Parts: sequence; C-alpha cells; structure tokens
Amino acid sequence: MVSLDRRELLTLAGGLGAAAFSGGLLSGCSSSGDGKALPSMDDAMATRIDYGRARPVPTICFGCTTHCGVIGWVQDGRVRQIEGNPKDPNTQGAICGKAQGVIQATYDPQRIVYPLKRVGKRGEGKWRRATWEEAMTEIGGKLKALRDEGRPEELVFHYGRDKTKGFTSRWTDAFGTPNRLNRRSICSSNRRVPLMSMYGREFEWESQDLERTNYVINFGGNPMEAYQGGLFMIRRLMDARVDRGAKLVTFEVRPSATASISDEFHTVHPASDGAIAMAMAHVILREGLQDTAFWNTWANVDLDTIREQVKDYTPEWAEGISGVPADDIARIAVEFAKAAPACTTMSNRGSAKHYNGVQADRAIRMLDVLVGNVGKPGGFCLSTLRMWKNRYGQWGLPVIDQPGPKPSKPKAWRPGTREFETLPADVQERVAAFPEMWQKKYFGELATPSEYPLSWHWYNMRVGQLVYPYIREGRQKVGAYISYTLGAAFGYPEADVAREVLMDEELVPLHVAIDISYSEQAALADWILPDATALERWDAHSTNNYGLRPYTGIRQPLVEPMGEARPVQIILRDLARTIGGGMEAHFDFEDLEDYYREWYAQVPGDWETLKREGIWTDPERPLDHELYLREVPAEELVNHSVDPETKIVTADKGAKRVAVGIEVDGKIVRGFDTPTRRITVQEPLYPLAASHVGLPLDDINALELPTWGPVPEHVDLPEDRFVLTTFKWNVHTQGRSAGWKYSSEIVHTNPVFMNPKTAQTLGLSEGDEVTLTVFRPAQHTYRAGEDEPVGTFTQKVRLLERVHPKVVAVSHHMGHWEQGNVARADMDTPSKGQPGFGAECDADVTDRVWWSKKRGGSGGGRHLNDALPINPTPLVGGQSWFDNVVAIAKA
Amino acid sequence: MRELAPLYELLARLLTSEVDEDLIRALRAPSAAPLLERLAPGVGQEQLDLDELAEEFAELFLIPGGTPPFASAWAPEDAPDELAERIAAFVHGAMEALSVEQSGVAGRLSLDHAGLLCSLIARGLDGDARQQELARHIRDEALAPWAPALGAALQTRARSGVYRATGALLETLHLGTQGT
Repeated sequence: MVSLDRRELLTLAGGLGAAAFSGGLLSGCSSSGDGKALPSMDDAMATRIDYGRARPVPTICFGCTTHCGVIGWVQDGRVRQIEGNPKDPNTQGAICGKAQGVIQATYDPQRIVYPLKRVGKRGEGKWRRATWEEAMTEIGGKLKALRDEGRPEELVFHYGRDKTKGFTSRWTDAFGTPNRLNRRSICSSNRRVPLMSMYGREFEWESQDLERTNYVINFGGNPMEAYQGGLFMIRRLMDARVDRGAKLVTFEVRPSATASISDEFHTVHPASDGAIAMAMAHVILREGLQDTAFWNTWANVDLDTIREQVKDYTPEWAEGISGVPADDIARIAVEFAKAAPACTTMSNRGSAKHYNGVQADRAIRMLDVLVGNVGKPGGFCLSTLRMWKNRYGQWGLPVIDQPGPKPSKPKAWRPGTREFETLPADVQERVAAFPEMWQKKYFGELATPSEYPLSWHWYNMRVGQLVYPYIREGRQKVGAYISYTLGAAFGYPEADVAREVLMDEELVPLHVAIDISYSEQAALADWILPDATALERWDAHSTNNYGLRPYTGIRQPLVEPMGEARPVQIILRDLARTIGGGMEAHFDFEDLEDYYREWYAQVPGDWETLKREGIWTDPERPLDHELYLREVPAEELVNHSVDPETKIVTADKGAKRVAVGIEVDGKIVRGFDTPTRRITVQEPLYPLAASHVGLPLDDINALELPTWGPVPEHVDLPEDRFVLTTFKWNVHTQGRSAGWKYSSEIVHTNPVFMNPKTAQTLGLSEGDEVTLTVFRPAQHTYRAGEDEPVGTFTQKVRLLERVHPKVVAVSHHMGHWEQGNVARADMDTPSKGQPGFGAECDADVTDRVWWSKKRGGSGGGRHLNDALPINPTPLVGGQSWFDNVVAIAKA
Repeated sequence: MRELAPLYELLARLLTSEVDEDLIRALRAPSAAPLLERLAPGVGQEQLDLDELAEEFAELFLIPGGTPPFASAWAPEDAPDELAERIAAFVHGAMEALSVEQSGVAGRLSLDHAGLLCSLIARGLDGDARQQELARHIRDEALAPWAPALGAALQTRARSGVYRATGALLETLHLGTQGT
C-alpha cells in the first residue's frame, strides 16, 4: 500500500486548494446549520425504524406478478420497511418475503441509475454514462427515422413485466407498431386459453371463492410459492381449512410447498392431470352426482355427448396413466361432487404447460361445470381482472382510464397491404386462407404468429419464445428493439438463441434496454435506460379479487428515483416528444401525479384519500357470485330481440348489433361472454385452427371436446429416460430477484431433485454430480424430432422423497452471469458462453456472499435455460416447460 | 483536519463524475502532481483519453463487476448487517444538520455513496467548529470503516493512474492517517 504522511497530505491538499472542481455535489446548497443538533451514528444505530418518525406510504408491491397492497415506511429519506396494507381486499394485509426484495432492488449498490451508452462491441460490457438528452436525441432520432420512412412496424417493444395498465400499448400504438410483445406464452397462455374459450375474454383468470369453499382439488398449482395471486388464495384457503375443515387435495409431480401442506398429496406422472380429471368426470356422471340443471342451462353441449366422451376414461385407466390408485380417484371425485357447490378446482402451470396442457385444463374446468359450482359461494368463481370501464356484469363501477386522446391502432396486415407483402410466401399463403375473424387480427409473425392463431384469437398473448428464432430466420425484419424489464437472454428456453440474435447487429440494428438492473438482456443492449423501481414510481393497479369485489389501488412513489433513473412513463413520453409527428400529443403531461390523478378522477372520494389509503373499493357492493345471472340493464336492451332457438339476446350498440345476454327462465341475464352466451365445453375453434396450420385433426390439441392424450415424447419412455420439470422458489421471482441479497441467502442454488429410489437405480447418492442431457420434443413443435440434444445441465443431486420416480426437478432461476455480484455468486460459465460473460466476481463483495464457492458454498447455481427446448404447444403456443425428456449420467 | 477539505472535494468529484479537462489540469498542477505520482506511479506520464476514462468510470462505478462506491458493498464482514442503513440514516441527519438540500444531484445519490460522504466531509471541514466536528464523525464512523477496502480494490482493478490514485488516496486518508 502506498501512503502519504500527514505533511504530504496537507501539501497535496494545499496544491489542490486553488483548483475549482467544477460544480461540487452540494453546490447551491446552504450550509448554515447553526443551532441544529448534530446527528451521530449511535443515534442511527439505536433504531432501524422509528415508527414515530417514519412516514407510512401505501403503494403496490412489484416483487412479483401478484401485486399486493403494501405500506412502505420512509425514514430519513429511505424506505426502511414494507408491511401489508390491511385495506387491500385481496391480500387482507398479508405480504410475503418478496416484498422486502423491492427495497433491496431500490438500494442495490449495483443497480443501473444512469443512462448508459455502449462503447465497445455489443455484449463486451463497455459503457459510458450519457445524459438523458443525448439518449433521447440519439434513440429518438433513430426511431423517428424508422417512423418517418414508413416502417414503424420494424420497431419491436418486448416486455417481461409491464404493469403500466395500457401506457406502453398507447405508446406503441402511437408509434404505429403492432409489435408490443410479451411473455404470456412463457407463463400462462395455456391456462388462459381454456378459460377464455369456456367463459369468454373477460375471464382469463379465475377467482375461486376460497373463503367459503369446503373442497379444493389442486392439479399441480402451487399458491404457497409461485402462483400469480397465490398470496390472495392461500390465506383464504388456510382459513377455510382451519375454520371449517375444508379439504385440499393436490396432484403434483413433486412435493411442492402446497402439496406438502395439503390434506392429500398424490404424486402423479407428469402431464397426467387431464387424465385424472377425465376419470373424475367419468365417476361423477357414473354416480349421477352432476348438477344436470346447471349443465343443461349453461353448457353448450348436451350431457349425453359428454357421457359418451368420458365413458372410456375410467379411474382404472387413469391409474395406469397417472399412478394414482383408481379408488382414490373415484373417492375424491365423489367427495368433490358431494361438496358442491362449495367446491372448486385449482390449476395453473403444473397442469397446463404441457403438450396436452390446454386439453388438461379444459378437462379440469369441465369438472366445475359438471357439479354446477361455477360462480357459486365456495365455488369456481369468475371476477374480471380489472375494473376499468364497467367490465362484464359489473356495472356501476367508476371508469378508470388513461386521460388524453387515444391513438388509433395499427392496421391489420391483410392480403394486399404493404406489410403483408413483406411476409414469407408460406406465411402469406396461410394468412390468405384465414377466416375473416383472424385476418382482421393478423399483424405479422412476431405479434400474431400464424402457426398459433389461438395465441391471439381472444387477445394478443404472442408466442414470445419464438420471437428470436423468427427474427433469425428472417420471418420479419427488425429495425429497432426495445427490451423493457425483459429477461429473455437468461430466462427463455434456448436462451442462447435470444443472445445470439441480440448480439447480431444486422438482425437487431438498435437494442435499447429499459431496466432497473444490469440484466443479461440489458448487457446485450446498445443503450440502457434506467427505470424507476416500484418504490419510486406511479402506476394504476387493478386485478381480479379473490374477495370477489372489484377494487383498484395506486402505486405511488415513496422516494425519488435513485441517481438519474426515471419512470418508464417519463422515458416513453420524452421519446414520443423527440419522435414527434403527432406522437407527442398522446403523452401531454408534465407531472406523473397529475396524470394519474386524472386517471382516477371518477373514483369516489378525493385523490388525497386514495393516496392515503392506497386502495379504493366499495365494501357495500354485492360479491361477484353468479355474474352470469345478473339481469341486463334496460339501457343495454335497445331494440333487443331473442333468438327463439339459442335464446341469445341481441341489441343495438351504436351502429352495431351485438349480443348482450341470454334469456333464462324468462329473464334476460348476462350469461357468459362467449358466442353462445353459455360455457363453451365444446369448442370448434380447436379443429378450425388445426385445419389452418396443418395440425392433424386427430391430434389431441385439435379436438372439440375435452380429452386426454399423452405427450408424444413421453410415450414408451425408456427406462433410462426421465422427465425434467422446472419450478419456482417461494422467495424468488424468476430471474429478477437473484440480486436480492436476502432472497439469495435463502435460496441460491438449483440442485437436481430426485427420488431416492431413482437415485438408487442409477447408482447415485446425495451430492453426486450428474449431467442431464435434454432432447428435443417428438412432434408438432419447434425443431421437433431433431436427434441432436438441445443441451446439457450439470449439477448435484438432492434426494427428495415423493418426487415422481420418473421425474427430476430443477429450478430455472439460478446461474446468473450478470445482475451483480450477489446474483452471480461464484457462478460457472454458462453452457453456451458469450463474449463478455463470466467475469470474476469482486473478491470483497463475494466474500460477503457466504454461499460463494470461494467460501466453500454451493455457488449461485447453474444456468439451465439454454438446455431447455423452445417448445410451444400447438395452436396456443404456451411453452411446454414440463415435458423435457432427459438422460441422466453421473458427471 | 480542515486543510484536508480539498482532498475530500477531489475524491467526491472523482467518485461521482467523469474526468474532464479541468480536472486533469488540476491534477497535473506542479503543486499536486508529484504527490499523486507517489500514490499512483506513472500517472503523470499517462496519455489521458477522456473517452477511455469515461468508459473506465462506468466500469468501476456504474455497472456491476466494478468497484461500487457504496458502503453496502464494502462493509467489513464483522460489521453489523445494517451498517449501510445506519450510515444512510446518519448521513440523512448530517445533511439536515448542514442544511444541505436533499434534492438535486446529492439528493438522488444513495446515502451511503462514498462521493456524497466525501462531499459532506469537505463541506463540514469548511464550516464552523460544530460542522468540523460533524465532518470528523462522518469520516471516522461512516466512511473510514469501509473506504480502505474500496480504495484497495480500486488500486487493483483500475487501469488508469487517475483511478488508482483515487483508490490510494481513499486508502491512505482512512488508514494511514486515520484520526488526524
């Protein structure tokens, strides 16, 4: 160490004394502090939070996608603590550990808080700080050129987490691009499609009445850990179990936290949920336990057809598929039906993210219709996702919508349009043959992939995992690409393809990442624009309420953004102003609080009350039970008529004639938001879509009625092949939470969970290192049937009872090579490394990460996602995360 | 200690902003250059490219993998977990005591940012006796526990003499002459 003595230091100080270091940090500040008591570290040490001094600010958590009402306590200019907001009718004041992670994200010393411009090669990790003015001028200039040259569709705005409630879609609409892409297919499209098909667009997410239920059959859902809305659900469910003895039965491939606390947990073979559900339907009908009146009134297919459909799906058959004893399947079906209507199914990704997952969820959802629990107290209820604009059957609610003029939507890419002509010939041919209802919704292969029409039939869920292969294949040209809080380069299947495309400056000439952290995605950008965290920004909030009463909340800033970070709304507003050409007119605001005050103008009570409470709801409003039975108000029945055969009621709405309800027992009620106003158990869209994309009509995904069929690559699975399933940890939010120190202290690695008997068969013991070789799927999906393995994954074995013997389970969160030192710990080089990745961790920081390998710990886990195949389910496009066939070998 | 104020002003400048021509001139002044050369041998002979220095500034202080200038990244292992938070609470109080407006550039820096702490120390040292006392507290209690670790890492990681000198100065001010 070089040191100067005191005399030398004074000399140096004297030498510098005359120099004016232009604009000190505190310039312009007064320094007269006379009379004020001096603070001390001892005082600061005395208490971490002083509730007498701290200021409570209600807001909405963004630790995961559940979005709980919380109260942040601000003291000495910093957010010190997050607690639940008891006024949130969804959470009832509960929070989970992830809420504290938002504080860590805000004060993460390695957070990105200044605009950064790339100065080396893309992905090389060389940057310089830029001013916002420079960023807006350069990025805005390039986007303006794209727009002015009449190629707005070449801008792709791809987000991972966007909770701005329409702000970003207004921006892309105003720009003129339809390519606002999301990650629905990565997450939930396979479970949303059956819901929207059966119940209508409004009901893409169910809201079981768990407060009043007596019986829940859970097909692979995991609300204790990772389910969107899990916190809302599990608290109610636990209360119901304790207060009234409600029963929870779980079918799972591994002992998840939810499975482990269930009254019954049956380990099942992967992708067999639908088989169990079909067998239960068989039992319910065999035993005459169905609610015939409900079915006859509300299902769009007669009961005899279903009886015929399920006749071969016996419990004994399902035992052979699932491994669950036939007697248990039959008993649970009977218990469930006898508990009706206060009983409900529950399912999420566990059942749906398979080749047969859409059909599985259709079969599961059919159980609710059979026992007539739909909308009933304690049953399978439906509550719209948000309360904007008086949603379905929920009139009387205030209108909450963005102020200002709305831009027009981009025009569809119909045959003959300029955009259509840019498409490959095979795509043109397919789209030209589409029925009108799809041609008018078609916007190119990135936004509306023509091979997956049911990914965008109800609304645009896209097929995110195909975006990068499609760009690489030249299916659509990209002029500029904006990643917004997107982690595709880490978290998508075959994430190396995403990285390869993002590294290619010919395929992606401009990549702008709007993000909080230096993610694997941001590391491959040309510009990083720092976003504000949930504690620093405004957002409108509303979601479905398991309390069955619509509500809204406001996310509001507790502190100013760190450094020069800016809320995404300000970033996009300023870009719109730079781009000009009328775009700026849609973002005519200066202050975000003013903007959101205008959004909420119709909410009863004043703005200050909303800010103080954080939540608005109407506690006197009837619960959302049986919305379908609510009578259609007279003002909607303009020139109405009733179809004598279908009983569908149509009326004038402006210049259009629209269905508004259905006549039941002489009353005009809302019914369901489907073409028949009934529940679509029999869905003709599946074979229709199949016929347009070349999917054989006998494929299970092409069938009108709920059914079950195997995952092709699981058929006759050899003894030495297994199914790799992935899962989420309770303290993590996919890739975003890896930098949260406390979350990573709890969970920071991803061993291969395996049944001890399986390990014994393979000659493996706890802690042995194994290599999983992952193969491509068998048919009807991306690169299906190729023999070459997708990749390999090497990690240590962890033995766990009750993992299915043919299953190995690995979390896909781990193994970061960016996101900062905590996330990286001592990570290994990714299996398909790229320039700029895998730098050594800083020793001093790493030494405080006790799980680092340098300290004898397990390290930060290993990256799995490069080895997982891109595997969209036919027609719908949801990633089949849990179908992966692997070989296991000792490493 | 009052005479050390320019050194803290210099550190604040180096830790929060990129190097510019004015700063280079100040560092190469005959009254400062020989001692900076002691801290980072060879610094005087370096060809300083402002673009390269800006890239290095980002690498060291703005993106992960560098040398984040925050207490939370360098608190010693035996320090209580909440050291960075306690520093932040203390600094918040110090800014109030010095009537420093918690807005503008300073207000949006993390309260455990080394540059902010140095700036406050400089401001305090330039003030009256009470403010000088506060400056000493900030230095000894909020900065000195971890600044040497940051300084040592900077000397190892930095490519340019300017940032190696920054590290050496941080280290020597808080180890070699601690308590002056």
